[in-house]
Order: sequence, then structure tokens, then C-alpha cells
Amino acid sequence: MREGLESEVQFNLRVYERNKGLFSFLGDKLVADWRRVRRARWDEFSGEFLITTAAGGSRQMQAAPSFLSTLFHLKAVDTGIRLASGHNYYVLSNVQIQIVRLVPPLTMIALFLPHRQIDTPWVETEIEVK
Amino acid sequence: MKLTRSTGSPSAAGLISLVLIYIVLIVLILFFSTQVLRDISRASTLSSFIVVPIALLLPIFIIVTLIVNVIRLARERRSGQPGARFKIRLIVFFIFIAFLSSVPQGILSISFINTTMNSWFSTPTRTALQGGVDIALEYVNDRLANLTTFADSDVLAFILRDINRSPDRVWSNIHGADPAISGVQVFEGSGKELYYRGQPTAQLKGQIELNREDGMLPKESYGSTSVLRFLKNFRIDGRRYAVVLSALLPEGFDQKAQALTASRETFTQLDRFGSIFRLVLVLFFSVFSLPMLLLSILVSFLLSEEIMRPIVNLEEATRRVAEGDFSYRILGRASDELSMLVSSFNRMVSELERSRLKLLQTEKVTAWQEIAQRLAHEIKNPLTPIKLSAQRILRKVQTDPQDLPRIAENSVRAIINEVESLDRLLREFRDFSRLPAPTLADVKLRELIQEVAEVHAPPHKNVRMSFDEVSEEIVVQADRNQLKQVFTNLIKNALEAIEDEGRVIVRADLVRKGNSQYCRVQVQDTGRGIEAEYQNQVFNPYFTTKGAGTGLGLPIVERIIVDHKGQIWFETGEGVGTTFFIDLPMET
Repeated sequence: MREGLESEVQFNLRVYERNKGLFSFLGDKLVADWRRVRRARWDEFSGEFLITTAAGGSRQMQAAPSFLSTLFHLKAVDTGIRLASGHNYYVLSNVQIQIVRLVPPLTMIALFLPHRQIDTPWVETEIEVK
Repeated sequence: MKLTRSTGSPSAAGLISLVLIYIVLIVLILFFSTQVLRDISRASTLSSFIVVPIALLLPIFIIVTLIVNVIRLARERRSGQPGARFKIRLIVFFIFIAFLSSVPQGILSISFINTTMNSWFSTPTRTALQGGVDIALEYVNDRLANLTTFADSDVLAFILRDINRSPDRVWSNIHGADPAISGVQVFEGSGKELYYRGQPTAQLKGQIELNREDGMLPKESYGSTSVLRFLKNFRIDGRRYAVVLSALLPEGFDQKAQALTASRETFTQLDRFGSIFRLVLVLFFSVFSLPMLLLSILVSFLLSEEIMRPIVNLEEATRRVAEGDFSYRILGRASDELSMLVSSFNRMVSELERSRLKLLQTEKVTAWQEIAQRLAHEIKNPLTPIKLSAQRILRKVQTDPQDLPRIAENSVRAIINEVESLDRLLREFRDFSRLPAPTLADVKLRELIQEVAEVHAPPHKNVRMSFDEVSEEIVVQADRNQLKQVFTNLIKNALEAIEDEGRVIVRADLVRKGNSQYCRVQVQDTGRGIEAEYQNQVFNPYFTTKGAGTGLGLPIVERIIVDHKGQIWFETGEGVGTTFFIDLPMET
């Protein structure tokens, strides 16, 4: 980052409805796909770490620890996903981290250098709709 | 009349398929350049489930289709199919052209990529970019240093003494001391704003934190304007004040600085990944060029097929005509350049057929004249003994009636014999002239020949008959009775040609003439052979070298074979024997 390169963190949430019927072999139904992208860089003009979101928001932090905790912390957010009661839902979540966010057209290198992106395993969490 | 299409469009489906594949490839290239190049991590679910499998399957499909076509062409060549060699030459030529055009294109593209990257991302550009960022950074640092220096100076403390008495003079003094300061803002100890003078955009909105220490405040941006601020705590007349000095950065400074840093980021990334990026570019160029190249090779297969079809049809038609099938015609499209050749060919075949029919008619008349002459001769032969016998009876009646019964009996017997001979002659003639059209059915050749041989073998015990070389598998489409007559006549002739001892051998093979398959039957004898002077007449009606023959056996054989769309000929050598060859079509 100190060299002027940008990093990216992407939080992914996928809500599925379990398919227990006759056609369960077709897989579970994807109900919603929510993602949040944060980009982080060092702003040498202000001497602070800068976190920007796809929605246009930004935050600046001077200290590296607070910058890292802000970047990787996802608060309880309203995803806008509405679920009906009486159904069996679960969430798959993971985080993708690009240590160096490649700029186009260099993005095509990512196809051949998959280790440049860190993907956490997908974590499954059951949802109870009341 | 049989018609074959020379320049139709049976390959239209193939052409449409290739055009569709071409369009899909173009769409994939566009998708790749717009979506994947923009940001690979943003590739949509659609791309993962549809586009990527298509991108992977399409080259495989093209390669498999190509392999199938190559195998088919190799088979055509091996089986000696007309036009296969020329088609291969055409395809090789097309591939050569495709390579000729793609090699310079590839060299040019790779060279262009290298040259462009080298010129765009050169050291002067890197220096210029880094220089721009450094200048912008220096400018901001300079402004910050100015603010800090001025805030920490005694000048500001001195000016601020008049803050309660003459606030306007305070601002004019500050601005006069440092024109780069865009505004001054004074807060009470409670954090409430007491005073602001300067440009409205530089004003800090709201209150400030209590007991905040001296130092820089976070940079704030309002639209295209950014403000740098420094906070300084003062104690004037025993009261605590917080003074904020603001300095506006030039309009659009932040955006320009961001553009500079973004460009530098791109440059840094290219600098770091440049070598692999070149390789990836070349790889992608190859990945998209290869299917295009393979596609052009597939097109070459299609084009060569399209070019060769009328030529192959013409060759087929010429061969069929050469084999005697004058009813064969080629259909051609009016717009086709080959249509003139096709119509000339059709005209030529029509003319040939007309001439042939005329010739046949003439031959027929001649043949019938000859038959009439021969028939008259054959009828006249028995008439003379009949007339003589009748005259003898009449003479006896007039001169010696007592001796009449003896003479009459001999003469009437002679007359009856001659009349029977005439009757047989006329019956065979009727059979020959009224030979019915063949009724085709599956005939097992070996079984038929065996049947004929069994009837004719016993009287010729000194002659060995062999039909072991006739496979039991051979089945021909023929009129059984007529075919039986053919082999009866041929085997009888063969047996009669052998004087003391010898052999009669019947063989059968399958032969291919052009695209047609025939059953070739040979009836061979080791007899005396046919004398050279008679060889041209053996198929003429009423020609015979045998005392008791009618001369209709071989003409009937020939007639039956021709009616079966077959051919008959013979090879003979005096003292060696004669072999009759019959070709019967396997598919009628």
C-alpha cells in the first residue's frame, strides 16, 4: 500500500433455501446473493489509510491497527433480504481478499495467478425465521 | 430419366453452423474484452455457468468436427472416391492461405503489444508520473507547513489579542500576514463557534471537540474543493479559545492528485507484472486466434466440398454414360458458373442418346432383314424336300399307281419330318422374338448353376464339371427362368465344344466398376474354341456351326443379359477353349 497499490476485500453472503423434495438432487435454491466490496489504500496526501466502498463512502484512519480492524470488520447490516417463515434457510458466507487489486487490463493476469487472491472457505450457518 | 443435382446446397446447414460458431466466437471475444478484462472478480454468474463452458467447449467441438472431417477425407481417399485427391489438394491450399494470412497477423499483433507497452510504460513516463505526485505532495506539505508555522508564531498570538475588540481587524491582519490562509475560525472553550472570517467554503461546520490538542485537523472535501486546517489553543484575557486556520487547496486539486496516483498505481502494477502480462496477452491472442484458424480450416473443408460436388457429379455422369447409361442427367442451378458446362454435357448426352437410338434402329432393321433372309432360307430348305416328295407322289399316281403306297409312305414321312422341323424353327423364332421382360427376384447363383449342371452332366461322363468357385453367398437380382436358360445354353455349348474329354468350369466373383457392383460369372470350357472367322457372328441370330443347331441359343443369352442391364462377352483360343463372361448388376 505504501507503494501506492490498492487492496480489496469482498464479503459474500448467499442465502439458500433447502430443497428436500423429490428434486433435491437439483440442489438448493439460491434466494439472495449479497456482497459488499471495500477497497483500501494509503493516501500519501493526508498520510492516512483510506477505505472506500462501492457505494461511494470513505473513511480515513491514521493508525494501522484501527484501519485493519475497520477493513475486516462487518457490522450487522441490513442486507434487504426478506425471508418467509416456515422455510428452511441457510447462509453461505466467505471473504475474498485481493492483496493487490489489479487494474484493467491487468485483471486478466488473475486467471493465471490465482494465489494473488485469498478466498476463505464458505461457512454455512442455519437461519431460523420467526 | 435419372437426375442428379450438381450444384445444390446440401452443405447449407454446415455453412449456417459455421457462421453461428463464428458469431459465438465474436460474442465471446467481446464479452471477454468488456467483462473479464474490466474486472475478473466481477464476472457474473451467467459468465460462470454459460459463457465459460461455451468458451471451453467451442474449441473442443471445432477440433472434434475437424478430426471427423479429416478421417472422412482419408477414408474417401483410401477408397478411391472420385475427387478425393483434388479435394485434399484444395484443402491444403486453403489451409496454406489461412496460415499465410494469420502468421503475419500474429507477428504484427505481438510486435504491436510489445512496442505499445514499451512506449507507454517507459522510464520517462514513470519519472513524469512520480514527479507529478511528488510536486502535488510537496505543494500540500508546503501549505501544511505554512499553516503550522503561522499558527505557532507569535504574530498570530499578537493579532488575536484584538479578537474581542475588533474582530474584523483580526482577519485583515491575518490575511495580510499570510495571504494563503483562506479563513480563521475561533471557538469558545465550550466548543461553540464564536467568530469566523474568510471564504465561506473554508468554514468548519458545527462545533469542535473539547480539549483537542494543537495540530492538523483531517482534510475535508466539499465537491471539488478541499480544505487543510490547523487547530491552535490560545488563552486571551484569561479565557480559553480554540483557533482554526484554514487553507483552501486549488479547485479540483484532489481529483487531479487522485488521477495521478491512480495512473501511478497502474504503472506500478504494469512495472511489477509486465513480463507475465505480455505472456498472458500472447496466450489470449493464441486462445482466440486458434479457434478462428480451426474454423477457417473447417470452412476450407466445406468450400472444397462445394467446389468438388459439381465436378464429382460430372465425373459420375460421364462414367455412367461411358457404361451405357444414357438416361443420366445433371441438374444445375441457373446462377452457377458450371451450369453452362452441365447443360453442354446434358445436351451432348441427349445427342448421344438420339444417335445411339438411331443407330440401334438401323441395326435393328438390318438385323431383322438378316433374320428375314435367314428365316426365308431356313424355311426354304425344308420346302424343297416337301415339294420333291409331293411331286414324287404325284408322278407315282400318274405312272405307277400300284407302287404308290410305298412311295407315298416314305414321301409323307419326309414331308411330316420337314413340317415338324419348320414348326420347331418357327416356335423358337417366336420364343426369341417374344422374350418377356424379366421378373426380378433374389436368385442364389450356385444353386441355379448346380441345378443346370445336374441336368446336363450325365451324358458327358468324360467331361468334368466344376462350380466350386461359385460362392453360396452370392445372390443376384434376376429372372430365375431366364437366368436358368442363359446357363443352360452356355453350359450346353461348353459341353458340346469338348470332343473327347475336358473340363467345364463355372466361376463367380464380385467386381466393382465405378460406384456400381457387379457379379461376374465365367463359363469356361477346354474345347476347340471358336474359329476367328466366326467370332464376330456368334451372337447373330441363326448363326450356327453345329449341324442340328438353330443359331438362336447365344442371341437369346445376350438378349436376356442385356434385359438384366448386364454385359456379356467372350475370350477364345483355337484348341484352348472359350470363356464366356457375364456381368450382372448386384443392385438393380
